[in-house]
Amino acid sequence: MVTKRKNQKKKTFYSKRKICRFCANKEQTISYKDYSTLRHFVSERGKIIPRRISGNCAKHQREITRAIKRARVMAIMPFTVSGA
Amino acid sequence: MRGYELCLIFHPETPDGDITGLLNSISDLITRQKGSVLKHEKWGKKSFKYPIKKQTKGSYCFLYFMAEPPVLREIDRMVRYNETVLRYTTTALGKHFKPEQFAHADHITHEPSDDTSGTDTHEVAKQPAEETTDA
Repeated sequence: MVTKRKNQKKKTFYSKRKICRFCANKEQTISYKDYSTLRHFVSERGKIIPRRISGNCAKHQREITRAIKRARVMAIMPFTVSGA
Repeated sequence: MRGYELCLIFHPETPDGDITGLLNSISDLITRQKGSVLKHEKWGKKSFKYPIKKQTKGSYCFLYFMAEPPVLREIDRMVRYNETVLRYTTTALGKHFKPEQFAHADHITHEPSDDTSGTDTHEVAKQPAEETTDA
């Protein structure tokens, strides 16, 4: 059992940490009106992509989430995409 | 004095005159209350991602302005019962916002009022006190 567990531990895969694109490029701003930027942070279904996948830092993920939710209210972004 | 952004969605069949009429009356209200309109923006007709009040399209208009918080309530009153407005929302421009960034705006509808000189050095409140309203 012990050896098996050890083997499992060895298999743990670490990928290279992604860099937050908004931290890398300070000039890039987040706005609820900017569909072309926000669309990279939602799935085909229109769901917000988690930070561990998008690579955003906590601060910018919060801003993105807020912007997407505002954009949804103003019908700039969809709440759901059916049949995607 | 804080910076705000008003987003209005008009019914697709609203004549241009009515849109500019409402925008002008809102701007008048703001300037009367010692605020200033920094910029206005029109996106024109844009299709929605989901229907609003059985409409699939609408005209988007944006108004950037500096005003005292109570002015928002009056704008709300003006817009809420207007049937041509399908939806509207007011958001506080965050702490990174500076009135100077609109200094060379193309579409200034009103001359900035006297007290804008005071707001130049004035940073907008740290936490964007958010006022989001659904029509």
